[in-house]
Amino acid sequence: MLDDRRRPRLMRERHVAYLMKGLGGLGGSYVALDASRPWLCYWILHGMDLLDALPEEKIDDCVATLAKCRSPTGGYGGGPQQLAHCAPTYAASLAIAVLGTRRAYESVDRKGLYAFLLSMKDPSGGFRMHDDGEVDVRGTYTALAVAALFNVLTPELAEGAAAYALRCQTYEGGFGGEPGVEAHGGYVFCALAALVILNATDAVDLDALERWLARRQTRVEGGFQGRTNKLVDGCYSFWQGGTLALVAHVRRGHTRSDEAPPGLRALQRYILLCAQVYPEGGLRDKPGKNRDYYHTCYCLSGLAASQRLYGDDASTVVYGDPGNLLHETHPVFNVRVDKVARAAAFFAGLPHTHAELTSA
Amino acid sequence: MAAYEDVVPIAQDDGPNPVVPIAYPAEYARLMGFFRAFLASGERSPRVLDLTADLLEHNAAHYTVWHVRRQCLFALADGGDATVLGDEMAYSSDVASGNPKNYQIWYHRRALVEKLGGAYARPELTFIQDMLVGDAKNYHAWSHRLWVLTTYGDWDGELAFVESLHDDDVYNNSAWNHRYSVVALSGAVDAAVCRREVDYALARVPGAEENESSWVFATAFAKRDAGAAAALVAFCEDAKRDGGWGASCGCLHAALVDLYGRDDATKPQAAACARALASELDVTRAKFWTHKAEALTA
Repeated sequence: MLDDRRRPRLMRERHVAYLMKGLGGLGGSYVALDASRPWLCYWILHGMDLLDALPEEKIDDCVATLAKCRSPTGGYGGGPQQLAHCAPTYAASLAIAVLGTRRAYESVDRKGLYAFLLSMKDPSGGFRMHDDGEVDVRGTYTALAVAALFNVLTPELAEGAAAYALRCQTYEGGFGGEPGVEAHGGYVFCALAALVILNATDAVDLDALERWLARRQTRVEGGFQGRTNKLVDGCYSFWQGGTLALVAHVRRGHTRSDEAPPGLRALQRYILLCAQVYPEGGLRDKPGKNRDYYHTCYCLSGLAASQRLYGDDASTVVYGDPGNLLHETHPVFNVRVDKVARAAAFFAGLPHTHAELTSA
Repeated sequence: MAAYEDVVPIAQDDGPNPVVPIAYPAEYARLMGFFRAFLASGERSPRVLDLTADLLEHNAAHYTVWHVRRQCLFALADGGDATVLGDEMAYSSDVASGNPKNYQIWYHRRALVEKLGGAYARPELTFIQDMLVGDAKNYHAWSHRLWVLTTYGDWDGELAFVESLHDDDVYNNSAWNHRYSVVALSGAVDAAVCRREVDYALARVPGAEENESSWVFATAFAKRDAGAAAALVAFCEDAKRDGGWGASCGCLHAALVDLYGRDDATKPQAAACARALASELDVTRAKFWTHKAEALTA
């Protein structure tokens, strides 16, 4: 884990090998994730893409598997012949952006997707995760992110969504999953990213959010906890670290030019020294826990998000071996910035009004 | 299995070269074949209900299975089965204790209570309380609890419940958040209430001086009432006078950054507190506090 100058090193080859193995097949214990197969695709493919190791020879198989998860009602299910659900729809959409080929883009049924997202809207302004499913701010973010990525984000779809997300900010400064519920790293990211997509961050109490975020970085470990007085967990490297990147982005929009947010080196140190699983590869929550694809994806994403500020190459901060620098991830979508741009270029010219998307 | 002998199973349509294929346990794969057949045929019956329970033992996060299970339950209940939903409460309590952090099970409880109505609110609060014994910070359990309370308005005893959890663990931030929401949603938040809540939090500072939860809670109510704010500031100033414990307390200084920072006249004091945090009391976040101090003096 150290380079020849004894600096912490990202074990790229070992992580790639672990990810590649999962793409090829998973053991029986993964039955608990049988309703999350688009997630498995995304976690693995995005992790490999950040490492500059997307397996070109597997791209068409990935596109085909994701297409099998498409629901006849529009949107994607957790596997073939499963009910459409916002979370696997989000995961499948991001995976398609990561794959980045014309065939991948063309596998998207944009009208069906739009109909599905519209049907998930709840009178509260939130989005339901699936027909007869829960409403929380994950629904808001996943629905809006997918819509933004594929250029189907209409005023009709967005109506009421910003107000719902804003109601989730708590007295602590973070956001909870539903109005009144405890501030939590995962939901904070969802709420703020949704508001950035909607260009509706003016009513966020940014000072309170910034302070809550700063205090979620643990003193000893340098990683992030998800909630006040909870333990550090590698996955919050992205949920909180990505939110830091979003906050910096919003601040810049408000003309406050800033240096890199504090604590990024300490975060990278935690990821490299505590979250990497040596010698097997893969990343984890914390020492003593097992590696898994979820934590591998979000530890790597957190590392990427903490290495430079979105849209600001001058801000690069690489802890340890200089070869640890990953590709830049887009803090709203958590897909490489160049992949987001490529998808945007493809989908920009396609029909995108409510009338066009709902015509027969 | 005899119960499904008339059913032609439907295989999973994975395509020729699937990625992330899972080596399914044989029994799960076999039962999923029947499940897909019922999904297609629309049959919602006691045997489909049984099948969903068998599948949930393999994968409790299978939301499509839960969805079909609810369709079966509600079809049976609507068809005159008077006990099926009550039985389901017992069944799902059981599943919840084995899968306490599963979105599906908690939504299932919500849908069931919604269907059964307000008479089930009180027993549901008892169930949640039992679940919180196992994990007092279970996020789903707290969300569900707030939903039961706001939907059925049965707030009695809630503050005492939170207090009992704080007696066990004063660092339980979920309980602090819950208390805030209960106070904010169950009645008027007037000066007396704000003062009461600031006092509640400050009474829990001794012995847990660096507990961010109690300080942020107190600050939030102080911001809602000038009298409560004055009381909190007085408490802090007393505690840090003459090198008292407050002089080295990071959380206390962070609270003062907020409280002093609200008024131009006291902003210099707020900036001084931020500088103390940056240089000594919370050096992990030195940059953050330095920025704060600069913003307060700008």
